Amino acid sequence: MTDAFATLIFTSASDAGDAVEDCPAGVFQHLESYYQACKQKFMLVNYGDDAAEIATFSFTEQTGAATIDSEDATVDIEVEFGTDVTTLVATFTVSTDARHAKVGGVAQVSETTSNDFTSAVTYQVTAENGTTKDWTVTVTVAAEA
Amino acid sequence: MTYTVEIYESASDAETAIEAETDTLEQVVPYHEGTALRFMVITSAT
Repeated sequence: MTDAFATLIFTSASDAGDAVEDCPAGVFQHLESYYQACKQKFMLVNYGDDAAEIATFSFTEQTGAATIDSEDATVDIEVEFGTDVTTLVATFTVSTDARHAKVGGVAQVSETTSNDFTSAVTYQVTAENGTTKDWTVTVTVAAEA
Repeated sequence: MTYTVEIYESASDAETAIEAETDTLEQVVPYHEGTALRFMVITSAT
């Protein structure tokens, strides 16, 4: 856990406003509007924990522990032969102060939200200070024994 | 604590809202929407 400044750029006032309202207590520092190439933009400055890790990730159908690689931002996990990967529900945890994890803009709830893991799924984890980290979760189905 | 953002279409509207505000005023951000000037008022409340 490291507290750090984060600068986030937005191209619309509504997006910038939504980002301010999404800030946890004490994180928002400053919002500035400016022009770049005749287009108005907004710079949001936050301060807070910058950790956006997936700490644990599992399925009840898994054959072994997931391989979580923070540097490459990947999670690889194998599930039992015959598992329907189109509606898998993951059990996961993220960094302590992280705001949320989303898939395709949908907030993920551990042990509740199902996703189609037919192909790799991108989990976007948002740190306390608003920075994001995209994780690629890949599920493989074990071969028939 | 939660942050709230309100947008006003004139300085006088922003001024009236700020003077009536009971939460903590964090910042006022003027910006343009096309050729019109807008004011984003950011407040926080516990």
